[in-house]
Amino acid sequence: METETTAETESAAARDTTWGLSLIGGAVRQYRIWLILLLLMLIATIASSGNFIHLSNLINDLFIAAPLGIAAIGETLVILTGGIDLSVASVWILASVVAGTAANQGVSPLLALLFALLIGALAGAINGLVVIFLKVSPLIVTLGMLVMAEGAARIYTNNNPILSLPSDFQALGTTSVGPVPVQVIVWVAMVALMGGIIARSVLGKTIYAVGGNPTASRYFGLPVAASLVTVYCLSGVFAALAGTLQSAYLNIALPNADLTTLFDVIAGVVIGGASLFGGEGKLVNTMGGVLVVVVIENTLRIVGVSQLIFQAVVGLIIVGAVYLNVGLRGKAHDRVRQKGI
Amino acid sequence: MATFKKAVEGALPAFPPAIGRTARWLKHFGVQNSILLAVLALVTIPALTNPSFTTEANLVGLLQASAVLTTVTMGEAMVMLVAGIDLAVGAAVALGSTILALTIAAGHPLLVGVVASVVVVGLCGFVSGLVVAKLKLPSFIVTFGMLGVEEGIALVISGGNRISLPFSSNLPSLMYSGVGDIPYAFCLSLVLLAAGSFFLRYIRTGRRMYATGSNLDAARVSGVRIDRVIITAFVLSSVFAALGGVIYTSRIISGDPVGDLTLNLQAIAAGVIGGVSLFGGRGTLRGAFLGAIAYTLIINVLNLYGVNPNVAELVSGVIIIGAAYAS
Amino acid sequence: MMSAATVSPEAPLLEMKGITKRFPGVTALSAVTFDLKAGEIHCLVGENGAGKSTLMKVLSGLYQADEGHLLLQGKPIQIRSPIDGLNQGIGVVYQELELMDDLSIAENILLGREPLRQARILNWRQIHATAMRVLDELGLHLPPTMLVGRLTVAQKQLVAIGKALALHPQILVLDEPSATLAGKELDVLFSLLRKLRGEGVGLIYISHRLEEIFTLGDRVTVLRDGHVVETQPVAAVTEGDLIRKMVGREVSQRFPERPQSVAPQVLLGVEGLSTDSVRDVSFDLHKGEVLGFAGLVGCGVDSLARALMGIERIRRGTIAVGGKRLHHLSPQRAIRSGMVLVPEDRKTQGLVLIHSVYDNMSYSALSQCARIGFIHVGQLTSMVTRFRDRLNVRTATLHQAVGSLSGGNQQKVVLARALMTEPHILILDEPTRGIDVGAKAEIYQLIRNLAAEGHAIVLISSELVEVTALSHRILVMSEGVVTARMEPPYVEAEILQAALPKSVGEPEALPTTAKGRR
Repeated sequence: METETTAETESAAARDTTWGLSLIGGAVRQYRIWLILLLLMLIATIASSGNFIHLSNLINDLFIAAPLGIAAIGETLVILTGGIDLSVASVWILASVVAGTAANQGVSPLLALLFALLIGALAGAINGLVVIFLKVSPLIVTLGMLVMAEGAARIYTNNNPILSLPSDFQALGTTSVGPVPVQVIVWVAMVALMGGIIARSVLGKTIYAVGGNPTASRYFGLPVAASLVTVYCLSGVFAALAGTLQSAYLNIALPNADLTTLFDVIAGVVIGGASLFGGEGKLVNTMGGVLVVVVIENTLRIVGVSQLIFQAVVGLIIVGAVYLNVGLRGKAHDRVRQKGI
Repeated sequence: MATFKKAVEGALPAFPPAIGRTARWLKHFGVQNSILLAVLALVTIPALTNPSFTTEANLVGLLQASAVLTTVTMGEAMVMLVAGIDLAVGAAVALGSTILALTIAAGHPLLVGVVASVVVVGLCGFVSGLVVAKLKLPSFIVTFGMLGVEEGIALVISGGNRISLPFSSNLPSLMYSGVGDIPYAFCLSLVLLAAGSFFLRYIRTGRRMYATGSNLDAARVSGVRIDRVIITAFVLSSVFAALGGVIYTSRIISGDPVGDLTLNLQAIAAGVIGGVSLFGGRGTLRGAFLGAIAYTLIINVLNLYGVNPNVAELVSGVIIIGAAYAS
Repeated sequence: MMSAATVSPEAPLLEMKGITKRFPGVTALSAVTFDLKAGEIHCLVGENGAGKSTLMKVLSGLYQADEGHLLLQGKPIQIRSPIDGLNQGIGVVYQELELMDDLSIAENILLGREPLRQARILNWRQIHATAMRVLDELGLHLPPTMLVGRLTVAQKQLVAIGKALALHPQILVLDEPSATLAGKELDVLFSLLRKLRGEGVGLIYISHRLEEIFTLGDRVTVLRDGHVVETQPVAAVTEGDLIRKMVGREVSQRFPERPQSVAPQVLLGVEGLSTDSVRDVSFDLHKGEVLGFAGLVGCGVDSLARALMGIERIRRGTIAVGGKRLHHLSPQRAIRSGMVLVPEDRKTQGLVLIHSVYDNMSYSALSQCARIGFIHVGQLTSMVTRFRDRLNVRTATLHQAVGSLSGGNQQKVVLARALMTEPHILILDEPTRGIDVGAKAEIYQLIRNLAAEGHAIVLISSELVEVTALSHRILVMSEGVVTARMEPPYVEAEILQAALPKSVGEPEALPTTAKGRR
């Protein structure tokens, strides 16, 4: 590399990126998801002739959003490191059938939940270790785990769905404190907890550094390998937590992975503004992103659009959101980091 | 292929010039296709020692079972050659199947249905390729989105239900009769192999797919129209997937809007087994085809030994990770 | 393309007049005037950073000159892009080979211009025939169907040349083509170039191997710091002349005084160190000492630096910090032992451009400021502000993205990050590359102060002025080995001599990557 080339790319970068303008403008851009959410809720209210704003509808949305949001916490962490976790959809259901089976055999709900979380941690740890030590792309590894975890779930339940769960287990998912579901409290608490950890811990800084520049993060002397394994592990744990809570609420545990879940989770992360290349994004914004997805789906449902088309809509939204994010960050910003197609 | 190949290369003896070019070519072939050979070796013993394997019924069933995967894998291989990934193939197959079934159920001839399938699904592939090439978004996220879109379309036009087709239509014969014992569907796959290989070797755009996947920037500087090459790759992947959907429909004699979404993974795994590199620029359709056969063989052998079919799913996940590692 | 026969032998084929090229903070080329006659081999020499590659990139169309113009056969032309350059008959063989490993030799040579038969089918017979012709000219007896990935680096170099030749250019630029060639291959290259010369092609030949200039060249131009020093017929100069002209300069840069005393205490001991690019390097680094490493691109010193930091694998040899041997070195362990690297390429190895100045400065010191994994923000912030002030990092706010800073300030951020680990040993790899004079001066003063405070510094630099002014001792590396150890007073010409690759026949040279990594 020569003097000239370095300097030249410097000038090119200065020309066409938006490296973070004024402080206020920056904050608005960073937290724009919340404005979008507000706007969408307004549109939803109008489009549904006021039905959207009914308390019962909003609470219903929260019950749907909470598990997605919890899983999205883990997914955000993985995406922040520049990777991706496609296995959330099946770790979700694997955990739920393990917990459900345990609960039906008389195990206390919290203990059943613990089993579920351990399964999630195990799946995530496998993902992380394979990514680090076998150096296989996270896309492939988690795609493999997506299939494997579902297979494991089917074997475990002999392909039978679990159609009823003990009432104390159900309570995990159904209880509310006043109008607010406990699930949502858990969600918000997790976002706050993880957000705090990410912002102030060596682990958190390492996650951002690895995503921002994997090569440099090694030169910095950061614990790259340990952080990556931790992140995938956490993703598995959060997916397990989400799956268990959802099956408790719905009183059903199926050994079949639902791809819509995967779409919704990734959409939430991407819409919330996290960069797929890593190094940029905030957990709290993912929360906003998930709420946006749920509001959109809710609106479509109220208006009468068939449920069947949701996956298509979310798919389009994901691509659109990625495109917009790239545009907002400035084309050169991401182009430099993307290799190939 | 670094670690694995080196191991294989080290294990095989070096052939001095005296022994001749054939021996050296064989060794070279062995190293290039080491994963494939390893898989086949793994399977041969259990296969041959199980009496049910060599029955006519089983072998024919094998050809029937592999017809979809071979077709879809060859399509996925096109995208892998340009260093991309097509996560939408499972949904493309489902969409193709649904469109075909609806067209036939509406009374149109088989050919019309096939054309309709190919055109619609191919169009989706065109859009994917366009977004990847022009908007320069990563292929995995674009095809991930397209997965949702195609799935959604399939679900909506079918109302979420399978569309049963009458046995009396032409369609089942695609799968259940053929040239001697070889199902027509398998022959179709072979034809696609021939046509695709010809394209990749003798047509300029096809040949340039290797260049694009190998070194995108150098290819662009050499005057290759990258956009055109990338879009072609995605269109072909979708067309092959659509035809895979046709074969799939003939197998279950109905249109299935849900399809098998693990098909993605299987296609990639089969491609990698067959020597198609995820990093682009390397691999052949023949390899993809054989990789798919090898994969089907593994599942078949597992079934013969009475292994729980869900375990087969587990195994396939392990295979793909193993194959990706060996790359 | 007009044939050479219609051009008068005296009128230049190519004229580059008054070419100036600036980058932020640096003027790479200053009113450079260069001409090339048809049927001539014109050599271009100069140190690293003298501007040779920049000038050729302007010619090839990769860069656009800020001032000056180009004339091709007396007519003014514009070259807007590399493809434009190719179309106008200018072929370039870069140091970084742009070949595709997965494709065959024939495909690489003919990519983009593959001949077709009827029905738009590729004409493989013609492709292979053309390729065979090119291979014959190159003296390569290889099947055209062979995959380029299986060729040796030398063979790849020849194929790259073949690719440029296949276009029948009027002008051919070769940037260090002989770096990877030896013996017979070199002879083939030379006779090929002579043949092209005979056919009226104008050749520009860039090389550090001065004896080649005398074997091959008709004229030679010396560049220094972006200026043309002189252009002469080869017969009129000696090797000594060239070296003197390459390095001699007025010292316009003021350097701080070098402290005389170096403590006897050895902080870093390296014994027989070998990596993939380096062989058998040994040295001791004392407290308060600045040990300079000089060398050209490809000499292996960057690999040495990375090995010391635990990023590149050590094949053989030992590293001892403070007398203690270090095994299984990793970046974390190196930092904990008090040794830190400021990497060569700050954008790809030293910074996360999208993150803030604050974050970039803190990354290496996080564990210092953390208890049970949690960072004491107050402690970290005060550290960051302290070092920001100490290094005079000019930034409106600590929270702006480091990518928006100038090169000099970015480099200071990297230095700050390194210093925040409170190291005893600093390894600085090209610390002033691509930054303006003012920031350079600040960094020189910093290096001086750090040495005076007792830090031990390894200074790796391709700028001879810098290395000679700041170092207590200099180790010169070439092709992976240490070729000379020097003490002041330094003679720059001697250093350059030791850094130049030796002529063919030196059996010990290690293979180096052709990608410009040292």
